[in-house]
Amino acid sequence: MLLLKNYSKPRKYLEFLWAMIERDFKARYKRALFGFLWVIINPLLQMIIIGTIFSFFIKIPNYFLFLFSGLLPWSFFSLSFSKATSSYISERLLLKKAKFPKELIPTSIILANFLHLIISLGLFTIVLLLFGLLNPTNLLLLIPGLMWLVIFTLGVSFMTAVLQVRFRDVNFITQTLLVLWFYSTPILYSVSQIPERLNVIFRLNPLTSVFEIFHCALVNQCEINSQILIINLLITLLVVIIGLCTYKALNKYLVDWL
Amino acid sequence: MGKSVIKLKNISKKYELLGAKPTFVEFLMSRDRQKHWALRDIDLIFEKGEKVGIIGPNGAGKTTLLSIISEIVYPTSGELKVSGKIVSLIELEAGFHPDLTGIENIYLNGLIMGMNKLEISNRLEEIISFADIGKYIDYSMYSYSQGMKLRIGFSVAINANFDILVLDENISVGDEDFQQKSLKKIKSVFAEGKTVIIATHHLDFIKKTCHRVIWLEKGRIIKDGPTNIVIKEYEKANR
Repeated sequence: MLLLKNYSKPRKYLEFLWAMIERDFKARYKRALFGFLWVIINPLLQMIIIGTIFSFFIKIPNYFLFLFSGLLPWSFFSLSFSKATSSYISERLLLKKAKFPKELIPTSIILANFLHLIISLGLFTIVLLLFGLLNPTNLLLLIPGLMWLVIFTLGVSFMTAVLQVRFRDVNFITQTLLVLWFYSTPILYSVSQIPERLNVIFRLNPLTSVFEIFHCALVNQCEINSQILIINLLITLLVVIIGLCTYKALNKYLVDWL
Repeated sequence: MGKSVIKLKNISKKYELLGAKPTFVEFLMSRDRQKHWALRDIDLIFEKGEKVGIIGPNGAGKTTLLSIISEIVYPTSGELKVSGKIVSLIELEAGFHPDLTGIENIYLNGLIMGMNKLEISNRLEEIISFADIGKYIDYSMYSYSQGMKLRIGFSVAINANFDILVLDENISVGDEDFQQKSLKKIKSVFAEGKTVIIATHHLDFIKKTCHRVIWLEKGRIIKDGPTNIVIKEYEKANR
């Protein structure tokens, strides 16, 4: 609601949002040979390479499928986060042209990626079904998992997207952060394999619970620690609030700094 | 007295002068950042149907004033009240996506200009025929020349069903042929009952089209009044 407030007609707002998402889709596929396949190929290749190497060190049953169930949401997150962060800079001319709801720029990027994630998850569940690994009741966990993931991505990207306009080095910080983030999120390994004294990392990283939920939903190999879950939720809430406040405080002056 | 459509009360705009690439590190390091007042204590009222020219040397704050009226730039302090839909012919060729076709870009641009999809569909024929770029309209925009983009941008903006038109310098765009066409279109807007605000150095154009002129200098209003009086003094001062 916070976002809707500065635009009078919700229908028009949604129309605009959809047009921006459509633009992202169309632009991406118009000149790409395999179109949608690239969204799958990237995590697929990662799975093959990482899986081949790390299966020597990490003993998890169905390791490749376990990996893939984490790599899919991760590629959504990393792509959305890095693209949204620089979105105001790359769309600077748009902002200078007319008055319109600026939050739609990062939002449309993230939601376009989100649609891709949902499609690729759909394909992945078919594969899991063929392997006979799918548990239909667990699959319902995808709904809160996806919601949490997209809300957190929006919150954190709003903050960096706005700050990037003011401080052009934010981009470098987020790129470095993403690399560290990848290894401190249970994607290659599961939380249960890490000694408990390192739990502080997982508590601070809201993506821990998100990815564990994905693991539960898709491959039924997970351990959801309620203490970590609650702290993760609170941190997510905090990040989203900070993100929205940063946007609200600075969005008026974005054009001045572009 | 007509109905006021735009009201500026005590508007000021301050810019911080930043380095070429403003970084966080720089922000922490430097204490004394240069400041620049682009506008200072501007009080203005525009009435419905008024045609107003804004004149002044480069750097007087003309574009800043227009951007504030169009609500693209927010004032540092002061109050702005606008009733009615504004379309500004600033950055005409901006906001197009090179990978999308002309028509797809018309929709996107129209939405940014504040139209909804239905309105754009209804005016699509008109927009396309005015832009007059032939078969290119169905091709991706990266194959367009700069002039073609300008044509599309102008055509979308001028068909955007506005109440208030804001013009910055570019009263005509494109090649000779399109310049005539766009100038004619703008003149027809002047003839309608719409409010027009224009910043330009073409004093002759203002003399012919505006009945009120605002003279800006260094972010302040020097004079505001009937066209012939203000322009006469402006010309005297700049001789």
